Amino acid sequence: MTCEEVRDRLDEYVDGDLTEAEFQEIELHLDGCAPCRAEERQLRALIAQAAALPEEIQPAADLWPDLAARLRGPEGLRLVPRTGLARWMGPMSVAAAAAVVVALSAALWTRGFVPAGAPGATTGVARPVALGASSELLDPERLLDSEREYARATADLMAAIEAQKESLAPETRAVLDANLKTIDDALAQVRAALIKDPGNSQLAHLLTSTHQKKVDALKRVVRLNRT
Amino acid sequence: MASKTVLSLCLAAAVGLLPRPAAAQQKVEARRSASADALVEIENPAGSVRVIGWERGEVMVTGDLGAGASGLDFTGSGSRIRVSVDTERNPHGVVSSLEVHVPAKSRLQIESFNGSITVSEVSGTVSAETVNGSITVSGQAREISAESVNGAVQVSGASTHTKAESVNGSVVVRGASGDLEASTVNGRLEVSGGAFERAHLETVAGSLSFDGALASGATLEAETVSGSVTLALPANVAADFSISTFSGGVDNALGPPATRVGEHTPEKELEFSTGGGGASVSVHTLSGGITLRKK
Repeated sequence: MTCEEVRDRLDEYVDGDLTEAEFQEIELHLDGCAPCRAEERQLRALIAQAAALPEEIQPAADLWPDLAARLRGPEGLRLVPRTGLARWMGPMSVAAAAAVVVALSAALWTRGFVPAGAPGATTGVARPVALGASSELLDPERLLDSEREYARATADLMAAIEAQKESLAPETRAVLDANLKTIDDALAQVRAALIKDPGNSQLAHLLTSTHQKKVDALKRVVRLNRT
Repeated sequence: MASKTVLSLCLAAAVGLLPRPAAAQQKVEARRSASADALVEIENPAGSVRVIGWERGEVMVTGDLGAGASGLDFTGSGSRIRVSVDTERNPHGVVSSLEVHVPAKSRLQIESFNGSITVSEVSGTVSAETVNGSITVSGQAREISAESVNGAVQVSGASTHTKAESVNGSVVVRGASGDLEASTVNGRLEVSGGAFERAHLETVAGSLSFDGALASGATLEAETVSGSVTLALPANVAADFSISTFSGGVDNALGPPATRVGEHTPEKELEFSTGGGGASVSVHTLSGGITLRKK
């Protein structure tokens, strides 16, 4: 088999859609061809990245203690996590998210919400606060957690798209970038609104659903481009 | 000369192997027998795909393979047929135009990259995906899924399960009913049709309009960030409404006016019921205006 023939069938090879004879033939080629092996590994990595993304991303409850500890930190309240998040989100996004968290924190404290372990908390359990069905999203640290997870998903997908850049026409990439900017502008608007109205659960929902639209759009590009 | 080429291609197609064209475009015409509800998979990296349903028990492919195409993979028979443009180089630059006639009840799976997709007169199911290009589906397909990244998506027909999505393009759904999921980022989203049981509609910046009826107990959700939302519903619709916008206006012809709920913000909310309630209608925007009007 030639390199071109092998690369034409890599999708089927990786997906396990070949006959045993075809599979063996490609295995034989890959064993002796470093460029094709590299392409095969790149394809597997891409698929793994895309497959690892959840359909819907919700703040992970089990991250709560760790996040809360890191956000408060030994030196007091630290609103912008210093590890990872800055790399994922970019300085402006982190600053914007942090601003939202500051505003939300203030609003929730004035409503009597005291996070577990915070000064003044009498037990290890957060006091209930009547914020309706979306109260989880109104927890500032969980909202930041949600933003962080979306940022990570976005970064993973952008990396996958970067890996596909040879097949993605420059004009398509330009269109994608323009639409991502539209979504980022929208996210900025929602964050600005949340700063003005920190207790607004609908805005918190809009923030996460707009993040979800960004992830959905990127996933579509990765999937269709691979196809 | 052309007829000789077509004849030779037909003969080659009989054994599932079409000749390898040279650099220039070449015409194809080939047929294979297919069952009435065959799964027909069509892939054309760039150019156009036009699929037309017919009452014959066969799939017929005609068209032009673009420069750089190494052949047409036209294989299978009976319940599963595959039509795919094979290429010698980067497939996205090989521009081919295919017209594919399929049994009307076929189940279609169509994929392209830089190409438009058009489907008509198919009553089975349609799944169509492209990155750069429009998708147009008309006819009586019962289930439709159409997704583009950079292109308009238009679905018109009586499908009862519809998914129509784009990133950078308008999405227009006409005549559908039942279950609908439709979204775009920048384009306009326009829905009109019969009675929906579940409709989930989203844009970021594009305008959103819905003109239809709601089945008993239906759910209609519309959400934008800055795009306007217009819902046109029967005046006697039995529904419970939950409307909110942070900084947009609300114009409500179905019930009471919206009230400002934010002490220091322009946020408006509105909850009311019509026709005794039943269906759930929720509309939420950040800055997009909301209009509720009677049909």
